[in-house]
Amino acid sequence: MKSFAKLYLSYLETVLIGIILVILTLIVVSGFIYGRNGLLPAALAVVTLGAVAYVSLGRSRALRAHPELRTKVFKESRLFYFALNGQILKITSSHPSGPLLDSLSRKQAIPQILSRITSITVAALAIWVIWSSFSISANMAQQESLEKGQAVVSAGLGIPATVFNKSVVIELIEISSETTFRVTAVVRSQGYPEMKIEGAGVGYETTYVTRSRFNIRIQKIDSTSAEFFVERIAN
Amino acid sequence: MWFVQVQTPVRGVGEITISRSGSSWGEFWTSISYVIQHTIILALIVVSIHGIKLLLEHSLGEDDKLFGLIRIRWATDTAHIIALVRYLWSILKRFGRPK
Repeated sequence: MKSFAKLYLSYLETVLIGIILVILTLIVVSGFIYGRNGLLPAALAVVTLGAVAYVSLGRSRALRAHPELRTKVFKESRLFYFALNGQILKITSSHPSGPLLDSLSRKQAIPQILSRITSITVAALAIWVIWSSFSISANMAQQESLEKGQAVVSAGLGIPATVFNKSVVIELIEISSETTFRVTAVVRSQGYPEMKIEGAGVGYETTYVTRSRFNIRIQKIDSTSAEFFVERIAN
Repeated sequence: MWFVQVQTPVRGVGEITISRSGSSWGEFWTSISYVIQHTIILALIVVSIHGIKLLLEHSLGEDDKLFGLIRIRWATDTAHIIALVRYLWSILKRFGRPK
């Protein structure tokens, strides 16, 4: 009888693979329907799913060649790697340079290196596609939730943020990190005095007065940038 | 099936030990523990999927939709179905095995 942990990991692997494949499929469908900047992740998700499907064709062959994998933890991931190895071996042996590889006695080594690189590439591609789609979707949700006269802007060191048709400019001077990140920034508007924000953390809120009043709140700070929520209040 | 087995005493002379034994009882107990084990694992997996769902929803922000169109819970709902199918498959594989 399988140990408890082994059985749990086996179930978890199945579920995680399922979730990743379903998310990639959802990205394909929603990315192509949405269009614009959703097209690239959707196209790359198609490539990833295609690569996974192609490699999976050699799954049963890999299982026959490595029957010891039946009882191993992360069976499917290991099988994927061996199936990938098999497919790459098939491709390289049918390639015109196959005899050359034979003569160099590196027939096994080169496909193994290639399959390692390919498996890392497929995994990295899947992670990138999911991450980029999630960040695009999160930004969309945030922008859609904003009302008229509200904006969220991100400023980097040396890259000022502008809002409301450049009526307010936020320039980052410094980001310090002691226990938490803190920013020093200058808020300016043409024809009005500057306002300095000094050593402020997330949640800091201030009002900048020009012809209109602007509520400025720091939402997020990391090592290179800060995100501000700006709301214009009629005078 | 229950039956009494009289064993030859090992330590003392004339000692009689009565024990229960029988292959079908042992098999029944193994099967029950198999089902219980898989059921507990299924429950743990459901909790894990819930954790993954919270993580995905958190990373998508206020609106938990991919490109504002498809809810991410479709993925976790499918994961529940996958886990359930895997559970039923394991049970059927165990009890549907030809003798």
